[in-house]
Amino acid sequence: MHSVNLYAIPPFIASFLLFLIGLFIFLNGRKIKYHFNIFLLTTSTFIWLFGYALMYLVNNARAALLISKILYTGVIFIPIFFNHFIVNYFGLKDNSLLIKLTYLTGIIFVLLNWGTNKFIVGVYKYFWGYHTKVGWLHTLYLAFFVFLFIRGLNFLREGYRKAKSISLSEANRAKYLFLGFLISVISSTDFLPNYGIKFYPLGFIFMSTWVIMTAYAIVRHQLMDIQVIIKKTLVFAGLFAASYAVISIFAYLGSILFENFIQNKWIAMIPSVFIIVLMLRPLENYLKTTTDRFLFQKKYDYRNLLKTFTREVLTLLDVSELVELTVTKLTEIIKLNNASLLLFDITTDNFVLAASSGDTRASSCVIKNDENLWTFMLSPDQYIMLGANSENRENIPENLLKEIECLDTHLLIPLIHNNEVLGLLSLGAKKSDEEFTQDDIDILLPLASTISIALSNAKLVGQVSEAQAQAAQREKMAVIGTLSAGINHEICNPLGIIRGQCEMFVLNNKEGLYKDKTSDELLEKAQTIMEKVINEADRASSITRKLSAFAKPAKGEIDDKVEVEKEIDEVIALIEHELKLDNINITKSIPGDIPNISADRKQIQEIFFNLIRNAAHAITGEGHISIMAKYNSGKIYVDVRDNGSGIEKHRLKQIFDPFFTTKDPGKGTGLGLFIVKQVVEKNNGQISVESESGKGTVFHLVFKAAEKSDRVNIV
Amino acid sequence: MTYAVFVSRTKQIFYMENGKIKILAIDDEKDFIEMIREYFEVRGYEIDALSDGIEGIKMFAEKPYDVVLLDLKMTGIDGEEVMRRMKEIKNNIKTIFITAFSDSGATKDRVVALGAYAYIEKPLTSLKHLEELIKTAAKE
Repeated sequence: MHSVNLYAIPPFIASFLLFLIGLFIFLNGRKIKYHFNIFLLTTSTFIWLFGYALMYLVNNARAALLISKILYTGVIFIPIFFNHFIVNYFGLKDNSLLIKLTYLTGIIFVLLNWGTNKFIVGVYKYFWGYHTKVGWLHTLYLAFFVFLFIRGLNFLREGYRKAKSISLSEANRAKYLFLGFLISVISSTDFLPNYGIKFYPLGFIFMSTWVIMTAYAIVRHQLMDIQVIIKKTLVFAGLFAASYAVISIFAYLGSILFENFIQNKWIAMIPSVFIIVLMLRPLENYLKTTTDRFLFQKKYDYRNLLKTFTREVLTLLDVSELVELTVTKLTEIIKLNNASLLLFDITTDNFVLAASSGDTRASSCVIKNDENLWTFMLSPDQYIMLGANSENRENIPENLLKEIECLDTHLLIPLIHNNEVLGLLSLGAKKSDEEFTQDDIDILLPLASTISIALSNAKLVGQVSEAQAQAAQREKMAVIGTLSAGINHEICNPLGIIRGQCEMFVLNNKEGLYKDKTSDELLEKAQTIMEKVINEADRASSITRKLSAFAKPAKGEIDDKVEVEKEIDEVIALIEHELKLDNINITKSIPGDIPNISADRKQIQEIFFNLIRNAAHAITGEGHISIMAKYNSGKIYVDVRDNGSGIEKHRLKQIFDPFFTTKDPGKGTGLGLFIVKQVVEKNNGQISVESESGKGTVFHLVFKAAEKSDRVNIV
Repeated sequence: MTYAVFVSRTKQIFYMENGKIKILAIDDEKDFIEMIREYFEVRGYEIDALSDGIEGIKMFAEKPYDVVLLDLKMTGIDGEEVMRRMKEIKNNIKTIFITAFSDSGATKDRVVALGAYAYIEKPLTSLKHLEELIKTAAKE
């Protein structure tokens, strides 16, 4: 009977494990050099172990010799790939020439292996099967092998020392890498039978150990930056089954032993069954704590969580951005299935979804703000925990459970600041299937209260900027009131002319002044009058159009279509007459090809309107205002300069403060420049001022140029 | 013929030399002043229409006028100042302000107090009305 050679099985299994882990690493970072290096390394070790497994199975010396030569093609490269991997992994100083040399040496050995019979001489026949018999050239290769491995391990040690100074996690990764390779080196004892020593090659044990250590380092320490989320239940079930199988085997062996004494197969099994049942619970508990301790605990980095939140999230002043980033970062860092944040809506007395992330059906979730919720939310803890097997579930009323069902929540934390309920933070299950632990709660509750503070801040800022927008609008309306003289002039004059021209024609006709005119002459007269009427009507409507456009509140919508020259022209049209009456002459110099500004059109008008008017107020007697714009590397610079009275140095610092004014009491609200500054900053711009008392003032504005300017330059 | 009537008649004769009422109109709104000139010219008035206050004062110093039409807000010197200087030349000058400047009566009260004959806001309700006003002013 021909039976399978059992000695072939262990290297066979080990070879596949190696190949699989290599492939996994490679697929998890195809573009990373050292991932490819390790893939080559595991492939070459795969060829080695798989080759020997095959060799043990054949019973023909010639076939064994051929397999020997093939598998050695892989073996030769093992130290080369190993060395190359270490160099790339630690990013060690470039010794590319040396690396090329090692590859060259490898190729020479491969050629010698196939071309001569001094590398592999033949095969031995041992009790486990055929094995390679080597010649003197192989000894040379062995020296090469030892050299590269010692060099590689040295690099590893050096890298480990370096990693220790970088971070704890870097050090952990390097440590596992070092230990893994150190153990794998023991498998070089497999060379012994090559020299006729009858020692069953145990290399597969050490190579499997390497696979296990590497896999562990990947799962636990993200070795090679690979992030694996393993379902806790899966690992647990696997370990439990494996351990239980071992116990069952022993129990079975025991029952065979008993059978000799008792003779009855079934009764003999009783002690074994007893042992199996007895072992069940302690084994489960032991494995549970072990897997928790070694694989899952502190799966996410608390420090990273705090760092991300203090640096990126809690500083946000926009409510929607804040809630959005809160849920995405929580989902990402704690590795949750989902997270949602609901904000309290005072008008409906409901909690309404503000942001959600991950796999969730929370979009339609509305939770009523009722007693039920708060009874369970506030006592005894400040949260509701709803794990799959949480005892809590039984204590919570059915209708509340139903209401929060849409959140798929495992942990529901209220967001409260200063006794004001702001919202609810819902965290879904962890991807690893772990429950939230007391450690999690200890970090998440304070985090939730800081999120509440940030939320309340952002809300306040929102209210303040709304108030500012209202103040800007009030200011603008007040200004339009003072403008009305100039506007009136611009509207009433055309109307007066229109009326006068028509009246004159009618009266002239009635009073017989056109008696001696021919009909052609009359027609021509009428034609001239109509033309004048049209012109004046256009003039009046253009100013009203500009005025009503200016008076409308700005929406604060930034787009790329704001043409700086056009906006300045619109503003000048509104105050031109006023300026003329005050003997102020206004000039502008703006290059025709200047790109658009990325801003809100109305707000840009408000800015220039206020600045030009301020400039005009600073001028007594005759004066001059000039506006200059230029473009330079992505920015638009605009200067508004006047030759008015200027501002004294000690007051210059205050001019952007609210309610600061140099005007006489009752003449200015003092909000002007304060609002200008707010509006400029809202449009991603900057404003600064330079002034010399008695000589004049210049306001420097900087705006972001629109990236894609669709302005066509018409020559 | 009462004395009052006599005085008024002689005045009329004195001011209406050649039977024509002489008007000086000053407004920096050129289209407006042109229209005024055309209207009064065809109706047999003698009218000088200017758009600058200083030139207007010069003109006023050279020629006798029955009525001066004045814009209030003008570039250069404004109407109020023009009237003040004209009054230095001839105190009983009759000025009619025609202006688009509206401030609910404060300016009107002030210029009338300073001796303006009338104050009309633009847009004019009627040219005919202005003509009547000028005629009345010239007669007084």
